[in-house]
Formats: sequence, structure tokens, C-alpha cells
Amino acid sequence: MTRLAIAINLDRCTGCNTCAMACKMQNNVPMGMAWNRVLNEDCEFEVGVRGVYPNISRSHLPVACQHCENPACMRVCPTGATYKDEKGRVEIDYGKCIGCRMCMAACPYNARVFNWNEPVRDPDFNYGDKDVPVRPKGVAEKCTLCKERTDRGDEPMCVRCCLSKARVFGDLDDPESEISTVLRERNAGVLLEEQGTRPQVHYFN
Amino acid sequence: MGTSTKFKVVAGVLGALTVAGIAAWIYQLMNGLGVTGMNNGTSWGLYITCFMFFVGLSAGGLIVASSASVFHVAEYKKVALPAVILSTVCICCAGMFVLIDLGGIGRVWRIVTGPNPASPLFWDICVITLYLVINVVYLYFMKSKKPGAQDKVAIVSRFALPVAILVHSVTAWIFGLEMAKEGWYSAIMAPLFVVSAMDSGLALLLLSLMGLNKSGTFKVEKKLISNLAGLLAACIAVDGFFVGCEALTMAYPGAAGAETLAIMATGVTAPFFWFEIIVGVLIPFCILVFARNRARMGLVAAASVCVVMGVFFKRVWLLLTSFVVPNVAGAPGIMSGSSSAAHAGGVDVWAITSSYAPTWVEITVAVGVVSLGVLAFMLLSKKLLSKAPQSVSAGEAAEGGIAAKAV
Amino acid sequence: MSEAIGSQSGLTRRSFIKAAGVAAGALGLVGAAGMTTADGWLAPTEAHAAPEEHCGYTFHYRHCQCNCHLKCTVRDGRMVLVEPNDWPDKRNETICLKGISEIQHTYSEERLQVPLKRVGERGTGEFVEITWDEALDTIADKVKETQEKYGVGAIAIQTAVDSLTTFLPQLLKGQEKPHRGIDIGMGNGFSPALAESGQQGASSNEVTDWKNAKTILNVGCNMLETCMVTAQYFFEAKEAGAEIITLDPNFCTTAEKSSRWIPMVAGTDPALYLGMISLILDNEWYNAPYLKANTSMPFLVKRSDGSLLRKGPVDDVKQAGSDNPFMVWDESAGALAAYNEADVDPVLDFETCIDGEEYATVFKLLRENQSQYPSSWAAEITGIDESVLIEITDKYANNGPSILSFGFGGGEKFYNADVAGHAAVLLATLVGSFGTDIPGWGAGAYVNAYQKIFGAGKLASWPLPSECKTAPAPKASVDYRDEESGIRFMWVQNGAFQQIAGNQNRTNEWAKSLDFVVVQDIWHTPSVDWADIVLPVCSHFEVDEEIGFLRALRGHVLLQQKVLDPLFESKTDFWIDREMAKRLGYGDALPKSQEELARFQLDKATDKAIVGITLDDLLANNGVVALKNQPDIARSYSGQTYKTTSGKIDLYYENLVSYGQALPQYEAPNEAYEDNSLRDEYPLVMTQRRSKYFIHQNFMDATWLRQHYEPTLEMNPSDMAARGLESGDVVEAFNDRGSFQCACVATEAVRPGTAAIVEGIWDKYMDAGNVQNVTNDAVNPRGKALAKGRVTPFNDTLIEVKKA
Repeated sequence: MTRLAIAINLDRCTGCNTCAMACKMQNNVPMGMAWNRVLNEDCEFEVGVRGVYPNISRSHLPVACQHCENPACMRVCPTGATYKDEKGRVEIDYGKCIGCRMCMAACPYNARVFNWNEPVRDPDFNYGDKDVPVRPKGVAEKCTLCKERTDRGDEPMCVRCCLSKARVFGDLDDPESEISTVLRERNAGVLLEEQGTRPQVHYFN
Repeated sequence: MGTSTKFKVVAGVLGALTVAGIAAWIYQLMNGLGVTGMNNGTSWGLYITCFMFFVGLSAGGLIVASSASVFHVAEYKKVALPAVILSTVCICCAGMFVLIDLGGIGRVWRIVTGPNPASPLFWDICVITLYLVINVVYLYFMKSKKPGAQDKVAIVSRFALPVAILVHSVTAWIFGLEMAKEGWYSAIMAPLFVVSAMDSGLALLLLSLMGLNKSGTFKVEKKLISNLAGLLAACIAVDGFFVGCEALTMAYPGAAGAETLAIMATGVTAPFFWFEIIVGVLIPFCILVFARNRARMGLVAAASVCVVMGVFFKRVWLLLTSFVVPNVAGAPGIMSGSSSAAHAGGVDVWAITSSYAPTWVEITVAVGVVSLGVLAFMLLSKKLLSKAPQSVSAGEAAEGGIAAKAV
Repeated sequence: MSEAIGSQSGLTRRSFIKAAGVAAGALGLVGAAGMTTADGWLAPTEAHAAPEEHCGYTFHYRHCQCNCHLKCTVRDGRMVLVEPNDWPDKRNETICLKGISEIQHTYSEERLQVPLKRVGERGTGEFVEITWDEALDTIADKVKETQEKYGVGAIAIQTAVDSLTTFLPQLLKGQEKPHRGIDIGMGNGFSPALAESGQQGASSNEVTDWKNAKTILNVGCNMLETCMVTAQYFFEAKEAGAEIITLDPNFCTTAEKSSRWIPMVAGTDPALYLGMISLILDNEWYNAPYLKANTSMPFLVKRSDGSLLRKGPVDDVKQAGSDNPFMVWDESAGALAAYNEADVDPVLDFETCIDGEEYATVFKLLRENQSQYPSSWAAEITGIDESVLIEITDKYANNGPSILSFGFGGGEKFYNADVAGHAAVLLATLVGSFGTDIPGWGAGAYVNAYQKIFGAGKLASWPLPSECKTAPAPKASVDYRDEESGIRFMWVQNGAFQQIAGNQNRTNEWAKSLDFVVVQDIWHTPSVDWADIVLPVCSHFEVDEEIGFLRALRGHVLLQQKVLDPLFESKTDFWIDREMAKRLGYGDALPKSQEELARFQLDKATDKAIVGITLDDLLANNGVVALKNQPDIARSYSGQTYKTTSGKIDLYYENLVSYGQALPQYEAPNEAYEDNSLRDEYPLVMTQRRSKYFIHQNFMDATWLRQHYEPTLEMNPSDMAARGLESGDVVEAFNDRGSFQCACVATEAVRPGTAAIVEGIWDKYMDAGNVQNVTNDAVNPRGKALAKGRVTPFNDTLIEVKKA
């Protein structure tokens, strides 16, 4: 078995948004949408902090599809458009998506975005990887774990571009992989564990 | 009976609204759901609210009609036919709202060719279809002059009752099984939907009967209305009790549920919540709990209006409250993805907490669907009920079987 | 897959940039009927069955100091992917959000598309389209006219570091203003002691050496946002166990990620360093043998006039110590001795009387001087607890190897920055930071390491006729707006009008008084509005031949290759250089192509790091070839060699005796000091901060980035409450110099009593005004005597804020 996944070192995350931009570019994500977001936790503004000067702290949380082992989105999809592929990624067959948005209601991470309109792009052409499907209006989309890149043996674009080297990509089923080692040796966890979705995306510090 | 001028005017207005709704829907098909107020934070809105609402409205009719047969409540048999007509029309409206809400209606056949049996939406589509079929069959047998048709009504009604309860339960499970949404994930969701369906459905039935009575299409005894109003009072009480149970369960641990409850009680959905509690539960219950009030048609009508509106508002807070605060929160929030956001410059594309307001397109479409429903009810009632003497049981009103099929 | 869904290999239905009209509007064109539309320069795509895709390689804008080299995928003539190129050393494979945003930013609506001529008042931004010939001919005529009327010095050019202009300054023969940049505040004080070649306070070792340090003091440097490629080394050090202590008035990203953040009062950096020096002296935490052997600390100074005692008479304080040695007191001999005599054993703490004149060692004078600056005093000035000051000084001195890191744009942009720089180099020297063989010791600005100090190679210079050289700036002029500067004609690049001077209203008035202004830029920055002639330049992704420019930085030779053909009617900087050369009579003096120049630069190079590297090597390696003989971690001053006057670390600045700054004397900020009476009117200190989203003015128009940032004045909630403000309110920030308006936002990350805003924001994105309208441009008279001239004290600014 293969379970491709990303582990993110939150100590190293500076909230720079390079991963979010890399994702947008690689996957031809239109304006007003994001597959990958970096949140400033507990704050209303990017410049916000917790606490009162000078006793303050701030933490960044990159959030995209968690590629759950028990994906709530897949369970509720009426047409099987959302599926778990042979490499352990949660993927969408856009041709099967009827745009009911059950998946969006079911995903505890708000990882999914919807093509409410004909996509608006700036610049006004299809950028990104040539193999990434162009999504029409009326379908849901989300992080594919850079399916097109990882199928070719490359790491996802967010991993490639992370300046802090905060992201580790690999196969959870390979005990020798860097990601497996990191998860064994570091203080690792998942988002919203209580939801029982068993994310393959892990966070550590 | 000829068609009155008043009828023509009303039908004309409803027809115009329906056409407007269809035009708005075509506009939506061309431009995408971005013409609605929905967004990546609040991904369901008025359409799904109306869907829930109409599934519920449809219940009351069928439950009354089938109770008449199943439990041999003779008086109810008298209104079984209008009740089933109402039920049929409402379930069609509900179905329309689901289809209208789809982003990719052109691919909807996928649900037939490759269904996912685990999806509550798939269950719902199955159950709604079954429910519609039962309604139509019910109507057919009630209007049938063939021998033995009445026995078949009794048989169908034995299926109709559980299916009616199931259709509400399954609709509830679309929400109640979503662990991701704090305000939805609750075992009480199905019973709550059933009882909401009963009270709103009954209230609408009462209003319809009084309407039919007034228009002279169909005569109903005041006593029966008072009787039904009593049943309505009981349903309201149970509804209020369930909401109370749920609210207490959310509040008590002072944890995540309490935060969601706070949005309902004091936050953005509070007006809907309190409207429902006061106007939808307390006021009509206080009116209808007294027998002498139930004898006054004006008060029964007022209480019924309150209940219908209250349940609609309940659908609103039930749906929207759980969308407001994302589970994983923080700045800058969720990229809303809406039409305006896609064209917006700068940081306006983000939302820390999600908000939603229906656009004119959504409202026009919804009004169109409702108009179509009212129009259908008027026409069907006219066809199926107009010559039925008030004392004759519905099953004996023996015309219009063909029209029923045309629904 | 349904019919609606195809991969990008299929047809693209959408037309490219429909908004040509909008772009024209944004350019402020008047009557530009012949405006080039977007339709013309990119063929429609319907006809393509299978898209053509190829990669191009180029370097990115480098004012962030990062020098990323990028692999760019082009499909059907459009740039669709930008990612890190492959480097021999994987650690260099970097890109940040700015590089990625080029997918859009290269095609920005704010791109200058055609040459423009001013038609309205200067500064109003009203232009008409003209041809390149008309533009260049007009400029050439004006150049000649100005040279004849006022002399060559009347022309000044502001080339910013992201410009690729090569020959223009020499062809114009005018002044370069300001000479070599504005990030000189700390370097003015720090660099002379070490004769640091860049004179901007460049660090003595690379940031890659941080992993070998145990204690890292990072003062006013938000490197994780401003020089993002350093992030991996920052975390490498932290994970290796270094304690990274960031001192900053505000809780910047780097403060957040450090082991510890110590808040301090803005602009009090000199007090911090002076207090630490006192603690090190008082506790004898200094490295005495190091000071004796490698510094000017034992040199004798004549108390009466502050001059350093030399063996012979001194005409020029810069006379080399080897020619006229400095004198020390030899412990073993008990007598005066030349500092460079064999076996001399100089005394550190000593004073004596010779021929009736009192002499003391630099060290002795330092001790005396420092008695004014006890740690309790420093604690009060800086707002840091004295116990904390003692703790961090102890760690810095005694838990080494230690790093002292500072940055640009924080304390460096204060009136007193040179004092801070001088104190910093003293502090780092006391603990033996420089020239040591022990890894992990060092000090300076680590963020400019990739710019010109480490891993830089010297490419051959194309020879120009001898008369082609820039004119020296008049001595009296420290600011280009001074009357003494004599400037009549400005040639401005890369948005420099807003970037380089404080007090924008003064700049604007001055700009109106000029005879002629040329702006050569890629985007319509606010400076463009001041032009008489506007020249649209290609982005770094566009070249009109296959080969572009070369850089030898970040340990590699980096080649710019064509990614895209020039967009619109833009031209390369090289093409403009050549066209101007023709018109100024030097048509044959320049290389005929960029390829010819590149081959020359490599083939004629004498730098051993470059010799042998050919253009063909670069082409075969997608534009990246490692410089030769580069150390794993570069460190300056190896073997204790310094190119200073004495050949040792010269901590005593004899040239500043008349300013009282031979040894650092505390000087308060010009405006933003505690008991300034101006604070009654303008109580808030305003900092212009750098952000990860922009490089100064560059990228302000990048829509992908603008989805994450809008101009906001960041204030502490207490200051906002006191003014009845809430986040999102549009406020006016003002002082006697001017005002600007934008939204405000509350954050506890900003020190109470201060306000912060990202620098470089274009006027059009503000509600009103420019941030520079309020900034301080006070000229420190000492500036004339400093290595790089006066600093612009942008952050030494007081404002008041009210609801607009």
C-alpha cells in the first residue's frame, strides 16, 4: 500500500504564504479561491497576535485537504466523484461531480472550494501544470496532493517551494521514509482528531 | 363550477411569478451558482432551506391522510384528498429545490449510473422519489372508481405513513450525520424533522382547507378543523420540547456546542431562532391549547401562519448557524469564492466568519417555485375537488384520476 | 470526464487579458488612440491543437538580496509556471511568493506598455503615447542641452539595484544619486572598523554559519520576511540548539520564531549596545588577548586633541600603519613601542604622560567613556529590564560562539544609526567575533550576504571610452534635493522617487523645479507620474535575444535567458543603453548584443572564481554554474587580516574626533526621542516596515499578493482606543511635513506609542497621500564625515493619528 502524505513542521512555518501561492500557480486555481491557506490562529488579522504586549504569541497553521483515511467528504458524495486513490490521496473526478456540495458541508477543515462561477483568472489564461484538469463552473475542488506532480514522482509544489523546509512529503506506509521517521520521532498530531477522519496530513514541532 | 375572475387573476399572477422564477433559474444555469449569495463558507443557502421546509410541509398532509386509513380516524378521511394533493405538490417543490441547488445539473445522471450507497443525499433522492410515487398512487386510488380501489388506498396508506416519516428522517440525516457541523450532528435531528414536518404540514393543511373552504372549492367542517388544530397544538409542544432538549444538550457541557448555541441565541442567527421559539412555538401553542380558541377559525388560521413561518425560520437557523464559524479558524479565514470575491481586488475575498444573504436571483427562483406549487395546488384542487360534496369521503370523489397522473 | 472538462493540454477558451481598455485607463493615457491593445501582441489561441511548452531560465529581482534563479515554463507564449531552478547546491533552490506571483505580475495591468510623453502638469500623470524614436531623440537632445548649459554634473541617475541598466550612468556622465544605496545607517559606524568592503555593515560570516553558534542576538532585523531565503538557516541554527534572541520594538515574524523576543524602544539601539559594552567591561567578559593582538584597543591617544599617537608626524589620518606605525605601551619593555614590532606586548588599560602630554590607550578611553553608560542607564533608555540586559550580555559574551545580527530599515533608518553601528562593532570585537577560526562567531547584517559580499564573483567590465564616467557629487550635497547638488535633469529607475528620500512633499516640490525627468521602469510606479518621458522596460523574464544579463552572486554565475519575448512595446535596459549610446555619439562603443557582452564578461574575467566558466557551460546548466573555489561557509577577515589603516580592527574613529564620535557617544533619535516636546502634538513613533509581500515598491500591483495585503496602519489597541478608532476605520496619519490616509488595524504586535506600516505602498492603493509624506528627512551634519554620507532617518518620525 501507499499512503502519500505531508507532514508540516509548525515551528518552522513563518506564515509566508509561499505554499499557498505555489499551490495556486501549479493547480491553476482561479481568483477568489484557495486550495491551501495559512491561518494565523485565533486572530482576526494577519498581523494579529494572542495576548497583550509584550506577553504575546502567534502561530501559523497551513490548511489544505488533509487526505483523510476516513474522508467524510467521500462518504457523503452521492456519485462517488470523490474517491480515495491507490496512492492514498483523496481525489475528485470532476466529470462525476454534480455540484451538490455535500462534501463541503461534511469536510471539517473547509478544505474544499466550489466553482460558483465560470473561473475568473488573473492573468486570464490557464496557468500551472499542463496536466492539471481545467475545472468548469459547478464542481468542487481542493488540494489533490499535486496528483499530477506526485504521479510523476515529484513532490507537491508547496513542498518544493517552502522556504523554511517545513514540509516533509512521503509515504506513510514506507517505514523508512522521511515522513515516517519524522512522525515517529517528533511530537506529531493531526487536525481535529476528534472528528475521526484520520488525516494523513500531520503537523509536528 | 366556472372559473372565477379572482381565480384567473391569482393564477395569472402566480404564472407570471413562475415564469420569472424560471427565467432567474436559466440565468443561474448560465452564470453558475455565483449569482446566489452562497460561498465557500456558507455553501448551502435559501434553496436547501426551502428544500427542508417543503419536505416538511409535504409530510403533514400525507401523515393526516394515511392516519385516516391506518388508524381509522374517520374524520380525517374527509380531508385526505386535499391533504395528499398538498403533500404531492410540496414534495415536488422540495425536489425542485434540490435540483436547482445543484451546480452541475447536467451531470445529475451520474447519481443513477454510479451512486454511492453511503451518501445520505443518495438515500434522500431514493426516498423522495418513492414518496412521490406513493403520493401519486395514493391520489390515483383515491380518485379511482374501480372496485377495490378503497382497499388499495388502505394498503398504500400503510406504506405511506412509514415512508413519510422516513423521508423526513433521511432529510434530517443529510445534516444530522455530518460530524463536521456542530449544530447538525445530533441524533435528535430525525425526530425533530419529523415533528417539524408534522406541525408545519398540519398548519399548512389547515390553511389550505380554510382557503379551499373560503373559495368554495371544498367544504370542510369547522369541527374537523378544530380537531386538527388540537393535533397541531400537540405537535407544536413536542417540537418545542425537542428543540429544548437539543439546546440543553448543546449548552450544558459549556463546550463547542455552547459556542454554536451562542450564535443561535445571541449571534447572527438569533433573530431566526427567537422568532421560531416565540412566533413558531409559544404563541401558536398558547392559542391552540385552549379548546375555545380552536373553535375560532381566525385564531386557528393565525396560529397556523405562525407555525408555518416559525418552522421556516427554524430551517434557516438550523442550516446556517453551523456554517458561521469554521472548525479551523484564524485570519484571514476562508476565501469565499463567490462571484463578487472572484472579481474583488485585495483582501475582500476572505472571511473570518462566514455570512450569507440570498440574492435577488435566489429569491426570484424560490418565489417562482412556491408560485408554481400554489398554482399546481389550485389547479389540482379545482380538478380533483371541485365537484366533491363536502360529506362525501375523498375516495368517493370520483373524478380527475388522469389529472393526478399529470402531476 | 464530461465534455466540459479538459486538461490544459486542450483548448483554452478564454481570451487573454480582455481589459486592454482598463489597462489604458490605468496608465492615465490621454488621447492614446493608437494604444497597443493586448490583442495584438499575443496571437489568439483557438487555433492551437497541442500547446507548445518549453522552459526558460532567469534570475529574479534581487532587492530582497535573495538572487533566486528560476525555471519558467512557457506554454503557447505565456508564462504558466515559475519554480526554483536546479542548482548544484540544493539549498539554493528557492522561490518565494513574490517569485510565484510573477505568473500574474509580469502581465500586470500596471505594466508600462508604450513610451509616453507628459502633456499635463508634471506630477499629474497625464501622458500621450509616443514612438521610441521620439522618446529617445527627445531625451538625447535634452541630455546634450543640459550638459552644455550646466555641465555633466547637472544630470543625475538613480539606478536601483533591480535595474539591469549597465552603461547608462557612464554614457550620461552624470551623478549617481545616492551613491550605492541608502542602507548605510549601521554600515557608516560598523564598517570602517573592519574596512568592510561594501560599507553597509555586511556580516563577517554567512548566515549558514549560524548553526555553529550558541547565542544569536538579532537586533531589529526581520530576516524571515525581508530575506526569506535565510529561513532555512535560521531554523537550522535554532534546531541545532542556538538560542536566537530577537530585540525589536514590534513582534515581527522573526521575533515570533526566535527562541525569545525582547521588546525595546525604537531607535535606542546605540543605548543597547553601549549598555552591553559597559557590562562586558565591568565584568571583564572581554577577550583581552584578542583585543591586544587584533585591535586598536592598545593604541595610545593624545588626550588633548584625541589624535592617535604614531611613530612619525601625521598628515593624513588614513596613512597606512605600516608606513607610520601606531604606538602602544609595551608591557615587558615598559616603554613605547610600534604596534607592529615583533614580540611587542601591548598594555590594554594604560595611561601615561609623555613630554607633558597625557596619553591613554583606546581601551582606557573606552572605559572612561563607558562610565556614562551603565547598564541601568541603558535599561532605562531601551526599556529593557536591567536583569534581562545583564542576562543576554552574559550569554552573548560567555556562551559563545555568538552572533550579533542587525538589519536594514529598523534602527538602521534612524538619525543616530552610525553610533549604533560603531557601538555594535565594538561590542562584537570585545568578545572576539572577527577573523577567528572558530565557526559560529560573527557580526553584521546577515541579510545582505548574498548581495555582494559572499559568493560574489567579479565579471569583466566592458571598456568604455575614457571620458565615459560618472561625475562626482558636489561635496556639500548630502541629499539630491539640496541646492548644492546642482541637479537639473533626473533619470529615475525602479520607483526611486518614493523610495530614496523622506518628506515626499519636499521631493515633489523639487521634482517640479527640475528641467527634465526621465523615468525608466517596468510598472507604473508613483514615480512615473513625475516623468516628462516614460520608457517602458522589459521585466526580467523578457529578452529580445536568447541571452540576457549575467550575475555572479550567491556563489554562482547566474544567467538571464529569454523566457518571454518583450511584452507590449517594452524594451530591454540593454537596448535602451545601446540606443542612447548611438544618440550620444558612442554607437560603436557598446557590445552589439547581450550575448557578446556576456561572453566578454566571462572570457575576460580575471577573478579566479570565474576564470574558465563559459557561456556554453551556463547554457548547458540552465543558467547556473557554481563559482570556483568557494568555501563551504564563507568568513571574512580570515587569519585576522583587515584592510584598515592599521591592519587591525580600528575601533577608534580618528576622523570623527571633531564630532565627539571617535568612540561612540550616545545620541538620541532626531525626533522620536522620549522627552521631545513635539510629542505633545505628535505622540506616535512611526515605523515603515518591510513585508514578505513586496520588495519596496515592487509587487504592489501583483493581484495575487494584494489578495493577502491591503495598506493598513498597524497600531496598538490601547492607542486606538485612546483615539476612538476601530480596526477598519480610515485614519489620517499626519505631522508638520504632511499626511496620508489608509485603514488602521489593531494588533498587540505593535508597541504601544508606535505605529507601523509597510513601506513602498503606491499612492493609488492608499486612501490618500503617500507614506513618505510624513517621514523625516533631517540631515545629520555628521553625515558628511561618514563613509557613505548621511542616512535618511525614515523611522525617526513622530505622527499623530485621527479618524479621517
